[in-house]
Amino acid sequence: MIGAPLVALSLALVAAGSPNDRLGAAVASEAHTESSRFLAIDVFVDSGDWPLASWQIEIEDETHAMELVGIEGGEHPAFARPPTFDAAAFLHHRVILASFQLDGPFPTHRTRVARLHFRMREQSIPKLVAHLRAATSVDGELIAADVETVPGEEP
Amino acid sequence: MPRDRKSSNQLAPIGLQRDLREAYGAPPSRGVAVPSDLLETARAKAGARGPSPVRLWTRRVALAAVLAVLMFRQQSPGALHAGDIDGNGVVDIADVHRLALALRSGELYFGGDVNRDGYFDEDDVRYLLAAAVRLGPS
Repeated sequence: MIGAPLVALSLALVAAGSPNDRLGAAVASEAHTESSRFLAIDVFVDSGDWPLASWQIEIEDETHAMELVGIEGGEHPAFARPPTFDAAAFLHHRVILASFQLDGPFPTHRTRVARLHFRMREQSIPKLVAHLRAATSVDGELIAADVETVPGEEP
Repeated sequence: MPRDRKSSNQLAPIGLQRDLREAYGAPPSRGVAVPSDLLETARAKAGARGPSPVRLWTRRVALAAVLAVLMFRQQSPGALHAGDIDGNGVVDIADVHRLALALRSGELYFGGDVNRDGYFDEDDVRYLLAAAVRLGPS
């Protein structure tokens, strides 16, 4: 006689789920509404005929819709290692990248010096502004160069 | 005699002197009485000798410091920050590159100790590189 109500109560509790389950469902719902995607941005420097021995670039996300999640090195062996940056960039919408090399060979003309990985909202349109702060040749003299950021391959 | 015992001619504290004067009256004057004209002559001679050597030495040190600051500003007017090797007013990768080149060449470079640890080594290059990429106010 008493066993039937207890079984019914147990079934009702199982159907309601634990508090942790409900919390997980809420997080999943939020993740669904705020769906994000990842985007890779390649950073190129064109130093013309000058051998590129060092560079420093400032990149800012004007839309504030992107979150920096990773930084890779470039394609040339001189800058294959990830550039130096301030770890606070992961919390901001701005990053300053820099790298230098003392021993050659050094790249000339257009070369990819870094790749940045961003996480962004699905519907947002990225708008990055890149500014070359300095670039030097082998002897440490400043040289003129162009910087360009283009969407890279999807990870 | 114990070493910490005060000598008899050492004066007592001011408060104690005042109490003693109230109790026993003013102490008798000791020493040789000096006429006032002799005192005036001695003061005039001391004034004719000029400032004391300590004051003169202090003035010379202050003058040397001012000259050193002026000479440094004339040599590198744009060098406003520590580590600004090329003196363009900012610390960037060009300064880091030049510092690394100077370190590798082995030249004696007095401005290379940017982290102020007394040595010019790779730590200075790393220190300057971190300063170059540091995020400030946008």
